[in-house]
Amino acid sequence: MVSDAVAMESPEPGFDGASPGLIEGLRFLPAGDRFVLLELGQHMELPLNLRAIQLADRLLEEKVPGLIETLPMFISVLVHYDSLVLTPERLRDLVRRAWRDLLDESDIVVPSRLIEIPVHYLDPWTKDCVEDYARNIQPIEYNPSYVAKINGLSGPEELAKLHSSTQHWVGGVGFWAGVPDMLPLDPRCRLSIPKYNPPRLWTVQGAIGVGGGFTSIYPIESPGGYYLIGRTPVPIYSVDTRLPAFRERATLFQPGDRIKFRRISFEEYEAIAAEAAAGAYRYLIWDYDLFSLSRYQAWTKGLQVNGDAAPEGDEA
Amino acid sequence: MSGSLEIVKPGLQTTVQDFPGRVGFWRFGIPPSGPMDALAFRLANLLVGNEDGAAAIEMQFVGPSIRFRAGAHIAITGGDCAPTLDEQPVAQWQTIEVRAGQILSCSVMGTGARAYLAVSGGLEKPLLMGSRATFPRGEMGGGALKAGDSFEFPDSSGDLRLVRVSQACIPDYPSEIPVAVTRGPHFDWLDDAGRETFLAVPWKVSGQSDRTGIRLVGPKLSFSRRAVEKAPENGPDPTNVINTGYPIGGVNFCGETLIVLPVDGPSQGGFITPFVVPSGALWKIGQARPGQTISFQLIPVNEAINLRRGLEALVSTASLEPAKEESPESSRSLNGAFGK
Repeated sequence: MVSDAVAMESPEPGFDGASPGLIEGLRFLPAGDRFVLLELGQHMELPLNLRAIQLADRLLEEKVPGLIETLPMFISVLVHYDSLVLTPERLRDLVRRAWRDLLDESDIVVPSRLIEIPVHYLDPWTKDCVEDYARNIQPIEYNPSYVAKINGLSGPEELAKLHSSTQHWVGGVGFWAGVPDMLPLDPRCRLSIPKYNPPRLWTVQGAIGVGGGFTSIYPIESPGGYYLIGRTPVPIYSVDTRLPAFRERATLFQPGDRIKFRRISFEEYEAIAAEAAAGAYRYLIWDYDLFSLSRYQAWTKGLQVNGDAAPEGDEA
Repeated sequence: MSGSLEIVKPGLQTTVQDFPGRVGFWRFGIPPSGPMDALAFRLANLLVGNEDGAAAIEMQFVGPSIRFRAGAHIAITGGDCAPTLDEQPVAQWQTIEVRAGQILSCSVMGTGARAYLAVSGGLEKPLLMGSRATFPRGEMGGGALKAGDSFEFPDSSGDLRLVRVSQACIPDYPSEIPVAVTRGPHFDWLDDAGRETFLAVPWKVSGQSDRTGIRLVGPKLSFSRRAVEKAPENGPDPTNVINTGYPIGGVNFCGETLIVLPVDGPSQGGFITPFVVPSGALWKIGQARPGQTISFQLIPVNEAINLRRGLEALVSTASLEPAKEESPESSRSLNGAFGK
């Protein structure tokens, strides 16, 4: 039986923090005794993702005792707290204050690192994964050809060009340790791709996959459902704390990062892979940048004015 | 001075864990890990006078054999793993003295799914991101223990009081498991009938369960309009949602499969979480065996907080009492040792 005390159709505006509530468009959804999910909207929009990243960081700024961590995703923030230290009611007040402060700001500006990831597009290793699937599960086309075809591109070469010509926005990280969910920032580089059904049983480490409108990277050899278009020789997950990039934590990416894929040849792939295996690879990370929503929106508007042609070459 | 122990036979999946694990990295997809049954784990540490955060051993379904190279105080809690010390049965839920050279063997678990072994002083292991916990799937903090692995522990075998958990405070591991849930963020994605069915039926624990997810088998549930009439970017299935963070203990609906997400589970994904097992009840999920059933009772968040309070109260010296006189076996061997 569902008692009246806990049944809910829509959040209440006057609420105590232990029950769902609404704070100026933000849904406050308790999830057990130590989590609350904050839902910022219903639609996948970059501004909501920026707000989520901003809210997740703001909540942590004051170092409130009992507030353990926050996890921003596309349109939500998961708050992890200790309800024996910080009551749901006080957490609600904290969220209300942070959210109202953010709504008062005219632009959304978040810190955003730019990280270069070398990729050998149309590589032999992910081709093996796909052929293995075709042999053992069901027929499937060479993935880059298929993705190109359903997106109206001339072929794998144009796909690789398009994919490496935009910065990719890391909207969230996770599922598995360090997996980035990325969207292209250049609207002309958007792709629409289905997912494998049934999924692949194995995918090489470092595979670059595309599914839905997203790009992701497989941090370790694992099953998967994204179409494969390339492979990076550099790890994005490592428990080897001797590597400078992984000294603080085992994962490379964080929400709000921008990734630039640099096309490399087979020979470069092998050279960088050897460097990475020796622990000598140094990531190119520009970590002083800020990302401004208003400036980004002005830029995308300009693109539409100038026509819809895809950008040339390897420029962002 | 420090002692050490060595794994002779590893058991099915034996790992070093600490509580509360590797906390603070959820936004990077790194799970906290730590014990699947935090209650039994913490009581084991309490029995040997350890701090709450001390590293100890989790065993799963089939326990390990372990040789002690030095004397120690140990305690075994959790599922009944029929432990023996040099082939003589020893009690669980109490402090035991082990002498150098003795072999502790834990067997197939008769009840529960996981048992814990704490050693006085705690196991020494390098910290990784602030914790000694093991995330076997990610090979983080090492993996499942293998024969020949060894761990040091500080020598603190001096004057420890021999205690046991009083009978009333020893948890039960029944085969029909009642588990409290609160509503989750997607509670309103089920319709009334869906919620009522979820709470009315016993859910069978699937064999495809591990530290990353406890899968449940049961009837098909029905969804509300919210789950069907939604923005297309959520995905086609009623259980699809725009990727969102997962609470630990969340009951995740993946199509027709229900998965309770424990301490090694995924941090986010595109499936709904209509219910959440609160922290005070999650230990029960860690003891659920394939084929057993779980029935859920809905409680409000404030009651879930009280449940956590109750668990914290249980992990205290108030739950302990002096152990009985030493068994004839151990006093005989002590006499033997001193008689020479």
